[in-house]
Amino acid sequence: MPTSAGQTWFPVALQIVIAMAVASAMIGFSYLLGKKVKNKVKDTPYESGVPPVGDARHRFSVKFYLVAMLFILFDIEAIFLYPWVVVFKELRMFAFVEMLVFVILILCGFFYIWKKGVLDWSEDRSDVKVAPRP
Amino acid sequence: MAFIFYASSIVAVVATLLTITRRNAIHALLYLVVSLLAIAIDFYVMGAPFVAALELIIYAGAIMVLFVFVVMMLNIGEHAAETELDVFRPRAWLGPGLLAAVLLAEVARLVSLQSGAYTGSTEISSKQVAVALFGPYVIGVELASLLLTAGLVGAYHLGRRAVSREEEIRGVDTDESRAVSRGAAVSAGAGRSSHAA
Amino acid sequence: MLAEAFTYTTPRTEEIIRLLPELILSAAGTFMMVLIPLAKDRYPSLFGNFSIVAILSAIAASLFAFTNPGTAFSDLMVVDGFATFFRVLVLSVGITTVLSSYRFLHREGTDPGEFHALILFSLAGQCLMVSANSLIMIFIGLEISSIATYILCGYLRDDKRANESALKYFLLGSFATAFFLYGIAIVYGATGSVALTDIRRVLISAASPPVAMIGIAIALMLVGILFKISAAPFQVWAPDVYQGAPTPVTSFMSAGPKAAAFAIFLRIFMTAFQSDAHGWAPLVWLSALLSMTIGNFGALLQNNIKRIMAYSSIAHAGYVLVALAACSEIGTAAAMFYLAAYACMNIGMFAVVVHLSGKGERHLSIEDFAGLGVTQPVTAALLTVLILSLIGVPLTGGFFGKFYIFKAALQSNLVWLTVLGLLNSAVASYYYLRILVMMYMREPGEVTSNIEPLPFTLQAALFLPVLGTFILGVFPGALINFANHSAALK
Repeated sequence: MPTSAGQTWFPVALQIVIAMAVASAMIGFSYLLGKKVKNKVKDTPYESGVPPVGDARHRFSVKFYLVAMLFILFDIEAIFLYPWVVVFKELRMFAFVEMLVFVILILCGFFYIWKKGVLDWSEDRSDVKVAPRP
Repeated sequence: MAFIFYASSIVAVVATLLTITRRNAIHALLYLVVSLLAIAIDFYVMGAPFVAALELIIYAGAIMVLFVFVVMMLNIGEHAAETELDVFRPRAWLGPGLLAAVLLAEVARLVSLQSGAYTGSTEISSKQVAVALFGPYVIGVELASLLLTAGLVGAYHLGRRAVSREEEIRGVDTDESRAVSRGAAVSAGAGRSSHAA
Repeated sequence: MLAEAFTYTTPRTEEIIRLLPELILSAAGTFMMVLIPLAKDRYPSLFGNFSIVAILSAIAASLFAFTNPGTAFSDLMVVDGFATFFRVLVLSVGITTVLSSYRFLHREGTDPGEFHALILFSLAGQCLMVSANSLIMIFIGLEISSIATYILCGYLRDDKRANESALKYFLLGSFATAFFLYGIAIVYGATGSVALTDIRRVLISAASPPVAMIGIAIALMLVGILFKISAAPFQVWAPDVYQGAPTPVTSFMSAGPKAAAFAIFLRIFMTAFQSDAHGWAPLVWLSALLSMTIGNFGALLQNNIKRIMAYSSIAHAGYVLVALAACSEIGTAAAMFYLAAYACMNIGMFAVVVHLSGKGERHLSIEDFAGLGVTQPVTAALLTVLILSLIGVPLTGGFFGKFYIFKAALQSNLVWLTVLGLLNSAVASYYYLRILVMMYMREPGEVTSNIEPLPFTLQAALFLPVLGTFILGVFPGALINFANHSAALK
């Protein structure tokens, strides 16, 4: 049990220091080691993949929505992991098998959407024939 | 702290009423977030911190993303520009902002209380929730994953974008009708956002 | 406190066996999801055959589980005669749905894999509903079954009618489920338990039972359940949804999920809320009368066969509610018998509709039946049996179904409801007879003269229900005895 303010906040301070160190290391090393290319596209500010200047009101693909829905489904499944972790020590093998079954079910679902190409972002897919439009 | 409970309950009710009476989808969403946050505080005050956290992660976090995506998908047409300008006017964010400020004050009060923040006699820790979930209700947890798997199939089947064999075959005699329906869908969307503006 | 809470036990063998039907269906459904991307389009009948095997093993598992009845998983589930009856019923509905969907899915050029996986998930949910002994499990089962059914309604993604159907069903259905869930929350608040037996004990033995709270909870749960069984005044969705959904799905919805919803209705209200029967029975009485009347008079005005069947389905829900309004064990048994008979006649009807409607489901008007008796005498004859059963003519399952229901109603002194119910059956015979007249007294039309003979799978989906209707109509004793034995819900 922490006894003083220093002991209480030390882990938090450590966490902040490590987080900052990792972030600066990632940016710093990629700056030092990476190849430098300068062209118009490269110098455009990053705006989540959308052109930074122009009309903001275009229709977004339903793909975004599909991914958001899948995210929620997996998010809710992941929620069950939080309470599971808390009691894992006590339940041991039982909890392990229990979660194994749970995760296998999720993995089957994941395998399904993966093989179905939901996560495939590129437009040209060889296994899907596009009907000719008149 | 009964006072905090009732205060955030009132915030939740007011925010929800405003959610369903706003004509602008973005305004409604802002109030909905406030309502969900207020309910999270209610849960916390009643001694269910775990549920409060879930409320934040799932509803205020993940589910809201879906709402935003719907707005992104439907927000088309010229009048949408006016709608967007509207978002930056004070009357759009002042209401949700005020309600959220009330909630923030409550949270500050709760933090300063440190202990004895609960109205109920006991606090249900996440450990007790876990014991119930993975003890007697373990079969319910497993079946919940089955429910989510069924949802997964549905989300994929109804939401996929790729043109399927089904569409190819049906396309032969329904292309014209589809063109008509697409036109109708666009104008319906446009009509809705003009209504909102 | 925590230490004593850790008295968990790994599931015993008999507990696993009692859950076996659900386990088989979930495992098969999940396995099919893995199989879908692997098999691609190479084996079109693979998924259907696989589901039939899975459902047959689930039926066997249900019967096997019944050799050692009892509760499982800390009383969350119970395997008794009632659960077994409904498990076998919804699974049989599942088999005929799969049979009638082979040709349909091929004709409409849609993926068979997801369709059958969803049918299996939906069946798993329904089996769970009928064997659940706790409101939480009932809710999870209801959700699994409903979600899968919503998606099945909109399975033909490019059909605007199917989209409309799925959207209406989903929006209204989730609203109704929310009502049901709110009712559960209030029951838990009032009694401190979600286990049906505990709720019953609290309501009977408490010095001052929480009457107002339970009243509100019962009202909310009734809204949810009456919606799911498409009973008045929550029936408005049924005609549109039934019309727009793919025909095999309509057939499935009108028999499987409906029977499961009636099962939870019976189990919740005949155990947990039995002591409050004086409060809810009048509401059921009213709903029964409204459903019968709206259903039968609504059907008179329709010309689309799927809409007629939708209104007929509302009316039949009304007849079953008459049995529920009786609030007695023989009422429960009569409802069980009727649901089995109704499933038979409905599924057979829809098997013919699947065939007759043709690609894109264009021929759904009642005129499209014209002259079927000439061009397809055997099909028409089998269909006649089912229509007679829907009317309630003796020697069919429908007759004994109505007979037991009205007998139970009379024993509970529901004289007026019985009289009104009988009058309703008379009205109903008009629109059923219209189909018969079309089939036998009109010249064959464009649809019936060019019709191909029924493919084998649809023949099976028609013949098996007709056989069932006959058996229930000629030897009702075995089933009604079983129903009477298992109607005593504890």
